[in-house]
Amino acid sequence: MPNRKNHLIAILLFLIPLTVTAGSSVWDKSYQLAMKGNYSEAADVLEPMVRKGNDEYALLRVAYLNYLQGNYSDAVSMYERAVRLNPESIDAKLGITLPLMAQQRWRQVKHYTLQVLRLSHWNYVAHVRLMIAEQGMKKWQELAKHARQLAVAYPSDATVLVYLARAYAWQGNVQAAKVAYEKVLVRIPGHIEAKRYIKDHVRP
Amino acid sequence: MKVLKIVSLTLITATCVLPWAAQAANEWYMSATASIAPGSYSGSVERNALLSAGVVLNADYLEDVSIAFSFNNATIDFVPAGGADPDINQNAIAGRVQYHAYSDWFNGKVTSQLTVHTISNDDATGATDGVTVIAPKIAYMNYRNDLYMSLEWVNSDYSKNGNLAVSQITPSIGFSFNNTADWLTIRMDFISSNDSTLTQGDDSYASATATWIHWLQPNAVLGINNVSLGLLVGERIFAVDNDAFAVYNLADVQTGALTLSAGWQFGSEYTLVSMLGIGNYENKTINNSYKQQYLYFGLTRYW
Repeated sequence: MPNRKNHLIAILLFLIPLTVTAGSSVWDKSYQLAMKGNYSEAADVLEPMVRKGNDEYALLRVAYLNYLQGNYSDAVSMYERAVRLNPESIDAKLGITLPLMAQQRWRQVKHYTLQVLRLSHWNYVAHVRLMIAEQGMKKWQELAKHARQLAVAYPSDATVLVYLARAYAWQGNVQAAKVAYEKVLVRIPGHIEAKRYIKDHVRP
Repeated sequence: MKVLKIVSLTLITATCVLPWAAQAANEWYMSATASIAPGSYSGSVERNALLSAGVVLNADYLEDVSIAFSFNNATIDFVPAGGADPDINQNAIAGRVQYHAYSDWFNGKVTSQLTVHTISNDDATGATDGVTVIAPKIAYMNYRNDLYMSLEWVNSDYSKNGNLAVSQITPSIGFSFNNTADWLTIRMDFISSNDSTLTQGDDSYASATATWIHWLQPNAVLGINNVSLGLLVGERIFAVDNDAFAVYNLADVQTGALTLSAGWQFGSEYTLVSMLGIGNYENKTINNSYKQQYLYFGLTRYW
């Protein structure tokens, strides 16, 4: 009996490294294909893991590879599956905003970024994508208020100031837009949009 | 007064219920539009004036589903004849459901839409009363939001007018230009009836409508957000315009139209549209051509 048990342990110990090697080689192959721009094949390699339905990382990865291929609806479906699998996943909720932004579904982008912000109040990526959604929906007052708050939390960030400037500009507040764009130029001296706005709005 | 009462009650209900519903979940987007359109006729031997007022309530579930409800009351003041006053007062109710699907193959949004109208009025002849309209539509808008195409089939049933049935096929195309500052829509209306004697002598009509919208830069004159120009050529009768929830069951043959509008945006919550419209009409039965002039004001509140 002890002899048989030892044999079983020996066989298991032999199999474990083989399994790890097989799994790693699948991922390695997928990464290599993705690096070459073969997103479709990179996703195909991971498909068996996705089909099982419980490999969260494989699901997220294939969703992203679908997004890179321009298969936005498939990417949305897969990210939705990932959200169902793990409702606390910030990765999935940020990930889904990528294909949704490509489809200009700004309300959905807002919906998911707000969910992220409930989990992580000052998540920078979620805030930036929420600002993109507010801009897409032409909610200039909301965008200005949001960007003002973010400029306090991220005072060195130029992106937030660009959105603040755009919100002021679209509300017709030229002076406030210029002030915001000037702050952008302090952070990024060659910023094309900021330079152009200030040049176009010089008082005669 | 009755119209004002109905419109007021609907607006009060909308004002109370919609914000609550909108806040109940961040997934619903609501809007309510109240409109009024007074008008007059010149050169008509039958018609004096018209007044139309309505409310449209719209609810969107994110960008997936839209549900809309419309109520409109219209009164046409006719010239009294033979001691009788043939004025017509009409109530029109409409509902619309839209489902948006996103297709990477088409690189855009495909919308399936169904609109239904039911109309009742006190037309003494009964010819324009008891109208029902069913209109399925399929529309496409690309992801860049600069190209639109749609095809709508409208079946209008005039049950009290010798079972008159009117079919309308409406293809349309729209596109943006000038760096998205302008949008041009061209729509065609091909209308056919099952009884030419009930559609003023012809059993088929065709018209084309072009509408150009230009969005102005911030701080534009009078704070105007957008202006539009519309032009209709050709002829149509008993047409249905589901963008405006309008069924032209009370109109004679329309032989042309020109509209000018200006729109304002007040923050993110209100928009106002004002329009001046001039329409050319002909009653072919009595060989009377005339004009209709109207103003339209529509105020929309978004939640």
